[in-house]
Amino acid sequence: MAEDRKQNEEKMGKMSQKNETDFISWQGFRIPLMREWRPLKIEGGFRKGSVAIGDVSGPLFEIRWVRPDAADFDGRAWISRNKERSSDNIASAPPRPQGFSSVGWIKEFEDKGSSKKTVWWGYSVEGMVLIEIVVGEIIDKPSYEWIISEAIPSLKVSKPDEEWIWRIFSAQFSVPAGFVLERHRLNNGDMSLCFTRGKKERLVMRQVYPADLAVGRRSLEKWFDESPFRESRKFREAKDGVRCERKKDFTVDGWKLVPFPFGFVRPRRCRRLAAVDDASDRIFMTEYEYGKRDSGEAAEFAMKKMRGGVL
Amino acid sequence: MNLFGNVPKNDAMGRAAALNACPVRTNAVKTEEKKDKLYVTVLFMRPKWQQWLGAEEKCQRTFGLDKYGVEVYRACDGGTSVKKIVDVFAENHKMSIAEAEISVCQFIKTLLIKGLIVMQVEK
Repeated sequence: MAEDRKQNEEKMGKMSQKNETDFISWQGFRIPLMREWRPLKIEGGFRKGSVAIGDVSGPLFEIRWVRPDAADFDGRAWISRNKERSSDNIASAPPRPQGFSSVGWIKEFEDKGSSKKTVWWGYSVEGMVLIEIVVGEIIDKPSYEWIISEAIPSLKVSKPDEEWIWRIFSAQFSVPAGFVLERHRLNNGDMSLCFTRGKKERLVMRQVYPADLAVGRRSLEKWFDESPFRESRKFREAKDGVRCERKKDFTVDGWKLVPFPFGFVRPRRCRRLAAVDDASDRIFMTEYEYGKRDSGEAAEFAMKKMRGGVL
Repeated sequence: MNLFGNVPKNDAMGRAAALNACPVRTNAVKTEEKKDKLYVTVLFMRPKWQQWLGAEEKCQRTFGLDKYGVEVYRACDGGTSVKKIVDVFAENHKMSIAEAEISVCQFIKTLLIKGLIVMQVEK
């Protein structure tokens, strides 16, 4: 018993150290995590979805989000209705992270055939998102306490009209406002996210690491040949576009065309950028497809942000 | 007990125990560094069926390790746990613990199968 207590105290002490934390940023919310914790399962998209977080022993908590369609959605009323369903266990003083207009929580909530849970809800008017966090009460006490007292109060939500940060494992991306995640592929050492904005714009961002190993096996330009996502259009270099190829970075303009003989069907302008970042030992790649009249600036923006403000 | 009267062994180690185990390098017959690679030669015991077909009992096998492989292989000193190796690897390569854990554990498993290391587990 005393040994258990000592272990818990050690764990709590370790958890309070700042450098032991990381964060996950996904679909417009951001929450701190312990360094050993990781996303176990990611589901859904912009409107609705969930991320389960856990460690080597199993899942610890789950974050769910919903973006209500109705413009007059009343978050406070929704939370109150949910609390009423299990009126016996309503707890007072729920954690209130910044930017959340209404919050509420239930402790010792028991669902059919499952163990006790703490369920927290928060609605952000600015972010237009309703977040639900479900924490299992059977997890070890220090982790439970840390989630309740540190993680939930530090939860942040981004506004839909501002730049969004996406961070998963150790890969971080910044995306201009309005881009919605369409697909993702998260392989160890090769993280790719594909965003769309309207019908014309498509932004693919990719990080491959360690760069040393990756470049040793394939040249920088060749990395684009094998797209992480299924492509219906093929890339063809533009005669009037920019082409700049150096040892550690690479820029090329081109067109994304439907295969022959339908190449004339809605051709898209495309800019590809790749760079080897020595500081982080990563290859950063962006591919931006856009309409004929637009500019390829989003590709540069995404690259600059990945490299920490340097293009 | 199964259909044939054998009692299945339950040697499976928990994740936590496996992460706390300390890998140790086996005695290499020869180690050689060439062009950023380390070549390690170990003695390998052939499977029984090969011996039955006339092959020698022991043979030598050489494995080439790249920069990252060498880093993990050298960390297998018998005093460093898998968890510690993962932490250091994550720190050195600016990765998350989860990513480093997948890569390092998979690599350690390979080293174990090839006979380059053995694991010291606390009972």
